[in-house]
Amino acid sequence: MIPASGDVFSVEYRFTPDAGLENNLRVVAKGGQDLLSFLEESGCDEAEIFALNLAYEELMTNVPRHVVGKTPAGVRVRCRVAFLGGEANMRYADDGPAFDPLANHSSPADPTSGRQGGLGLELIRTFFPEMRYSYEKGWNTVNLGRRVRT
Amino acid sequence: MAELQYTFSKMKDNVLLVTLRGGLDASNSTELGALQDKETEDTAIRYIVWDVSGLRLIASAGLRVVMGGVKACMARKGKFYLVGANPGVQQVIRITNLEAFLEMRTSLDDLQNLGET
Repeated sequence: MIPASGDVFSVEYRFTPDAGLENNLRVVAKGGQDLLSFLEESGCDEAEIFALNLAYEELMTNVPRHVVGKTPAGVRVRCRVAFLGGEANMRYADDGPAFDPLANHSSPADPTSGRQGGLGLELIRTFFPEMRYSYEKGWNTVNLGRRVRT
Repeated sequence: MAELQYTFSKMKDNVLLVTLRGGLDASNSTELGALQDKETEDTAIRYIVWDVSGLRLIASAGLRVVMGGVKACMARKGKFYLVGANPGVQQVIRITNLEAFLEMRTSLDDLQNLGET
């Protein structure tokens, strides 16, 4: 089964330091479970489910883990997944400080070194080679696209 | 992603088996890592086997738990094994060069003799 054009999944959260890291990560995880249900109901195969859930997880956890602690007022985060013309599109946005993920370069993992920065973004780039970033009107936006297997 | 379910057991006195189902991500990796650290306080353990045949997602946070297990095994001149990884998990392991530090197997049957001297 091929996901039908027009199928859309969308979430929006506001993460605050007061909520605490664990609670914020639980919110992301709950959204991930909803995304999984959406992808399964849309007829995605396991490879698409893996890629889209991985991108969701890495993008959505970035703010709770690295940004929200420095932003007392909190940060709004949005994620939308849509199937259009045989392609899965993910659009992520947050209103935290400007951050260009394409400018972040990771090095391969080495368990003997302790260097692990940027690993999540490196993973996204592998599953979504065409990753676009923009910062407009206070919003970081990342767009990802991937052909859906038929 | 699907909620993570896991069990810890001993395949042999020196082989720790961790069975994982669902998704290993930032919301559960800290807890799993802490439990794995506790289990590996048993200094007899030289090998860690993760049965990931039911694992549908591993994110970067989960890779840190893998790295923790790899480190523990390396320190004891043992080895870390990943069994039954789906193509996505395999790709993540390869991308990050972790396959240089662990062994991948298709089935637990391949490890029946593990830990025997």
